[in-house]
Parts: sequence; structure tokens; C-alpha cells
Amino acid sequence: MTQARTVRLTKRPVRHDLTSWPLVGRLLRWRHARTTAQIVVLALALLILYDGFFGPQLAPKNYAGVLPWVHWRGLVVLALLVIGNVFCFACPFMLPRRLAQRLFRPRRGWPRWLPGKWLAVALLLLFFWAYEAFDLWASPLLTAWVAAAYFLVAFAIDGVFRGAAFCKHVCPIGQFNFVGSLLSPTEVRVREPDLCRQCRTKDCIRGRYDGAGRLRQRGCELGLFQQSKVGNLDCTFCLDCVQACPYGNVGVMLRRPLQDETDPERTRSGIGQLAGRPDWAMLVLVLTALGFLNAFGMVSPVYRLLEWLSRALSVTNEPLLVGIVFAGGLALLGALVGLASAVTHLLAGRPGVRWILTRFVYTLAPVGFGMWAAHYLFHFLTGALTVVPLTQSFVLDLTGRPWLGQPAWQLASLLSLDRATDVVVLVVALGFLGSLAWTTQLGRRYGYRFGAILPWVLLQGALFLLGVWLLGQPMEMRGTLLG
Amino acid sequence: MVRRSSVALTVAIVLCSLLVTASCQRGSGTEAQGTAVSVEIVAIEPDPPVIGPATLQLRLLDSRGMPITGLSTVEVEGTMSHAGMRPVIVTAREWSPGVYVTEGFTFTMGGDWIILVRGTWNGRRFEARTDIPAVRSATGSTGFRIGVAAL
Repeated sequence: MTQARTVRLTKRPVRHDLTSWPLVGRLLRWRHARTTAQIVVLALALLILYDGFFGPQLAPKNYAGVLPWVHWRGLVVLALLVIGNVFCFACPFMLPRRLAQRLFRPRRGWPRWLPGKWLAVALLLLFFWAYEAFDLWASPLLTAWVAAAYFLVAFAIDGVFRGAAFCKHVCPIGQFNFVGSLLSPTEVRVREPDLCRQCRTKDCIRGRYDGAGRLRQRGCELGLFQQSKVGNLDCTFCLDCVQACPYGNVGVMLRRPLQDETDPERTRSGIGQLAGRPDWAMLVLVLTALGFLNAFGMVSPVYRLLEWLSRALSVTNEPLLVGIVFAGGLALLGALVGLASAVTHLLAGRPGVRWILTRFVYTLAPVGFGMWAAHYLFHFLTGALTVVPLTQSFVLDLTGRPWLGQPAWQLASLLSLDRATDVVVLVVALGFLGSLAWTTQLGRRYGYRFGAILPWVLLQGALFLLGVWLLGQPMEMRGTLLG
Repeated sequence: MVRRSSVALTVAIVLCSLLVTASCQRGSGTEAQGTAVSVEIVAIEPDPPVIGPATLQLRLLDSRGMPITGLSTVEVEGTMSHAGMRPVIVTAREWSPGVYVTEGFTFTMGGDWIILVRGTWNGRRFEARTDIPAVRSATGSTGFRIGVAAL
């Protein structure tokens, strides 16, 4: 039995269904679309590995210093805001993972003592602490090691555990993308819900097998059953469900962000209720705090804080001081969230503090992601063109001849510093508005007066102002290269 | 199946060979040349350095530590440890034997700066590197390392 190369749609095209659009739709329905995208990104990842290990150890002159920290991060947040989770779609780490699955045919389930997102949250903290403490952005070699470790861990995890254990429980980048995709304008969703109710085979989750019982097409390995899937959380945009559905009833739909996903009590396939998932709540809290801490690590006042801490604690170990700043920032945001929950509880006079916290903490996701997006877009907008002279220099080094011209090092920014700052402030503002909209929706849902949700509005407003202040600060770059 | 595997193997071998060959060239570029010529900072004006126009006095030395004289100009590039910033590229003229002074250099951002000096000496291109840590921003931060060093 051979499988069609492209999914055929059985229903009439719908305007907001990207899979029914000419060209784009054909590409999305093409069976090898993801693998092709992954191979392209894999080639870039190999370039980063090669240059990181063997190239000049000066970040601006090395692909491992430029592509991940300027382009990849900027394009990830840009894609999440204007398209969707396309970087999980094109994730190159999935290629060795797929190889591991073929080689080892794992049967073991993910350990019960490591449920949900807890490991991923810990890895997120570890990564961003290491990023600041060891200045990963300044070291092409360390960047290459991180990328190599990513490939190895993806291979090892999915060589041992069945399903998409790495994506669901381990990958810090994936969790970042999942939370960011709350704001994305697209979603993988069924076209005709009635058709799903009649379906008996449920290929979108089980996969499709041939007559001999061999798997011909995977279903969703993250356990998202299309019929009850809500929004983008945990969706890697792999489009396996689009390929698996025998009715061509799953598509990539345009949508209004923050419309269907804001109810924390709605049961979501593969996730359950967000209100009952402390790991997801912690993920959003940690990502929000890290968004501001990561930006804080690049501006002038961080030096004064570190200097003060160093004097106060008589500690000169930079990784330890960075750890203290991280722990302090997280604890501060955690305390403010707890305080907001307590005040809402007092003013609303209904359910407990924990009940409110596990529902309202998600409203921080938009403003938190707004800060991430602003930070990463700033670097992208002010440094995107540096890849041009870098490529010229790379070719010159490799061939000894300037086939692409002499490196034009004066090329750097897409926008002027002032214009880039305007854009990123607008992005944080949009994040704040998203948080505000989510909070008021929740307030209406639970019948709270404005006063009861005011603590959350004030917290989000404070984060927004903090973001604007951070973006207005002069940047200062530390570097272990100079140590 | 065999044919497909052979093609994949051939492609892999070719790619690996290219990478190994390329790595030799990329890795032995400017850094190896930099060992023949070194550069040290003689003075920076203003001192300590802050964001804004600055003058760097740089001494070029050969592998025996002797000043390199007679180069009418060298190219000086100021860049940072973070990618994505526009480097500052100016020329420097010989001011006294072996000492070259920049013209029109500007620290555009606070933090750690990396100074690359390029030129031609004895008919060979060279590139030498030195660092200027903790250029202060307008807010007056002295930078973490200087702060710690002062403890």
C-alpha cells in the first residue's frame, strides 16, 4: 500500500484554513514538507557546529555566535507572533530522534516520577543561568557544545522512551515555543467536528497502519487528540495529524489569539485542565520571570546590582551571583503573584488563594512573552545584516578568494536603534494588552468586579513598565573572553 | 535500498571531507597570523573609557617583542563579544616608533570591547587582537569586573 504524497481535502475549502490555500496549502499538505524544512535547518545547525568548534572564537565573526543568538532567536519570536510554531515544525533535533526511534523501537513510557513539565522547567532555569553565568552568547565553542548536547539528548531520550518524550517533557526550547504560541495567529485544528464524531479509527492520534500492521503514518506523539485539542499548547506543528487523518479533516487554521485558550478550566486533550497543572503554572511563571531577567542581564544596572551583591555578601564568584539574582527575581515574581492572588481572594471573597493563583497566573504569559519577543527582536532588528559580512568572511577563509566580495563589516542593522526601540516597546505593549484582555476575560468568567482583578492588572502593568525601562537602558556586554 | 545507502554514505563522506578540509583553513586564519604580531594598549583617552569618541594608542610588537615601525597606517576594528553589533572600523597612524593612534574611533556601547588591528608587514597580512574591558555607559557603571577588583 502506498501513501499519497499530498493529503487530499474532502471538504470544500475554508477561507481561514491555510491547508486549503493555493501553494501554501499544498506545501503544508505535502508529506515531506517537515522533513525538507528540518534538513534545511539541520544544514544550518551543522554550520553552527562546525564553525563553533573550528572557527574563530570571536562571536561576531563566527556562525555559532551570530546565527543562534541574533537570527534564530529573533526569527523564532517573529514567527510565533506572525505565523505560528514553525520552528518546532522545522526542528532539526527531530532527525536524530527519528533515527533513534527506528534503531531502538522504544517501548518504555516516560517515568511517572518526572511528570509533566517539571524537568523542562528545571532545564530552562539551568540553561538561562548558564547563559548568563558563562556568557554563552560570547563563546562560539560553548554554543556549539550546547547544540551538540541537544542533538545527543534528543537522540538518547527518544531512543529510550516512546512517543515524543523529548518534546513533551524535556525540550526547553519547545516549552518556550508552546507558551509563545498562545499568541500565534494559527492553530492545527479539525475542519468539521461532526466528521470526527463519526470517525472510528482515530488515526490522528493512533497513526495509520498498513495491512501487515506496519506503521505508515504517525499520529500525534504528544497525545493531542484532535477532537478535544484546544489551542497550541504542546503542539509542535509536526502536522502528523494532518497527514494521518483519512478524511483530510485536519488543517492549519487562522485564528484570533487568546480567544479559545484563556479558560484554565477547559479540558484540553493531552494536557487536562490548566487550572489543575501546577507544572504548567510554574512554566509560565518561570518563563515570565526569565524574560525580564534575561533582558536585565544585558543592561547597565545589572553591573551595579552585582557589584552591590558582591560587596554585601562578600562573594566574587560570578555564576553564584547570577544564581542569586535569578533566584531573587523568581522569588520576587512568585511573591507578587501570591500577593495578587491573596488580594483577589480578599476582594472577591470566593475560592482560595491557590484556586485563584492556578487560574490567573496564566495571564502573565502574554506580557512575559512580549518581553522575550522585544528583547530578541531588538537584537535581530539591529544585527540581522551581520550575517552578510560573516558569510563573505567565511567564504574568503575557506576558499582564499573573495567570491562574495570583501566582508562588508559595516552592515549590521535592519532598522536604526531608535526605530528598533520603538518597535520593541510596541511589542511589549501588545503583550501587556494581551495579558490585560486575558485577565478581564477571566474576571468576567468568574463574575469578579474590576477591583478584584486590579492586583493582576497592576502586576502586569508593573511588568510592562519594567520592560519599557529595561529597553530604555544602555546596553552593556560582559564577556568571559576577557576574563 | 543498497543504492540509496551508497549515495547517502558517499554524500556523508564528501561532507565530512569538506568540513575537515575547511576546518583547517578556517581555524588557521587570522588567529594564527595574530601570533606573529601582537598589540597592546598604550593609552586610552578618555581614561577610564566611556561611551563616545575615544583615542586609542596602540603598540604593535613582533614575535620577539620589538616594536613594528614604519607602517604608515593600520586598520583598527572595535567590536564586542556579542554578535549583532556594528563594528567600529577606523585607521590608525604611526605617532611614535611602533605606536599607532586611532582617528575617529568611538565606543558605541558600554561593556567589553575587542580591538583588532590589521595591516601588512613584511609583505604579509596580519591581524592582532587586544581587549578593553568594561567601557562605561553614560550612567556611570564601572562594570562588574572593575567593581569586584576594587573590593
